[in-house]
Amino acid sequence: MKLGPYIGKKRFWWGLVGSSLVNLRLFGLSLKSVCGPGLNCHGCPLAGVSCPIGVMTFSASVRTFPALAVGTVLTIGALAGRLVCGFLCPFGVLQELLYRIPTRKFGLPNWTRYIKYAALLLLVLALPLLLGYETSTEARLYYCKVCPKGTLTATLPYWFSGSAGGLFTGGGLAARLAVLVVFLALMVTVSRAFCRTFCPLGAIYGLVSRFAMTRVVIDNEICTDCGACDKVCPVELDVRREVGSAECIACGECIKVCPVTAISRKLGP
Amino acid sequence: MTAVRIAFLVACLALLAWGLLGESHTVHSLLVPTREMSGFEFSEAAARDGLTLEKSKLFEPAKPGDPQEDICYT
Repeated sequence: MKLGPYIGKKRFWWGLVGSSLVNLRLFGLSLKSVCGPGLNCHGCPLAGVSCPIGVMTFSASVRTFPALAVGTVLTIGALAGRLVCGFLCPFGVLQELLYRIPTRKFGLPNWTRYIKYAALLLLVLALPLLLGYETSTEARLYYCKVCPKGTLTATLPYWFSGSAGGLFTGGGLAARLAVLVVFLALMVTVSRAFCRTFCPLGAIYGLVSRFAMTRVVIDNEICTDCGACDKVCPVELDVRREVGSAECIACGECIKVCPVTAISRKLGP
Repeated sequence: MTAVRIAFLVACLALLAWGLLGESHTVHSLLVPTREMSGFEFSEAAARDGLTLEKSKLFEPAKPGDPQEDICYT
């Protein structure tokens, strides 16, 4: 299977494994008492595990600390950094497949990477904590209410099947759809647009990746500055400066193309 | 940095262990007696928006068959 420079075969198959793990209802299983490692809307009819961001948002809104969910995410981050983003996240696979659609491609200005930290702080933690939870309104702008992954895999299936019973109507639905359409368009034209700008789970993994037991490192003494790594980085990093940073999804594409093996994956403290 | 990485991993594992073994939330209900909810039960309830906060107390849905038992409001 030829998947092109931005998604290696191995990562594609890992992505399918990740998609299967979080959509356990495909196999008749439901384990929503545990959080999955990636962004996965637990409202999706196929979801078999909980979304850590969904649990955190809900917990903030009822002013409770979800130790299990936070502990799960931080432990995964401490062990693997952003490996989940690069290998297991189903939305990451979708983005890399959409990016293969032949259209004009664009880059993103560097400041856009900070939006995901703002989303984590405001839409996952601060606003739910301050405003509380109310089931009867769509007006509250929490992360789940605008999450394109949730709209794609939960809102739309319920809406089309008619089983939502008028739940998703009016301005709330329009806002969700608008955000989804914007991100789908961005995914086609900008590599890994959602991961780079709006994924709060990626923000958490990015914040802890500096302390992770698994990371991608570069030996600047061996590096010849050929720039081959920059050309294959799915998140368009200046690899020689930023590999292993909070923005690096540890996909290892740069490792594969480095002609002098200056970049490698390091395991352990 | 090595010591920081190890310390961070230990702290995360401790938090995870607390979540697995010690996390507890007092949940009130109009239907059943007040009970303690584990981290697993809380995650499962969060996944279906199955709790509300009233006067700083967690409550389970008042009515059996409340829509939030079946569908997440995401």
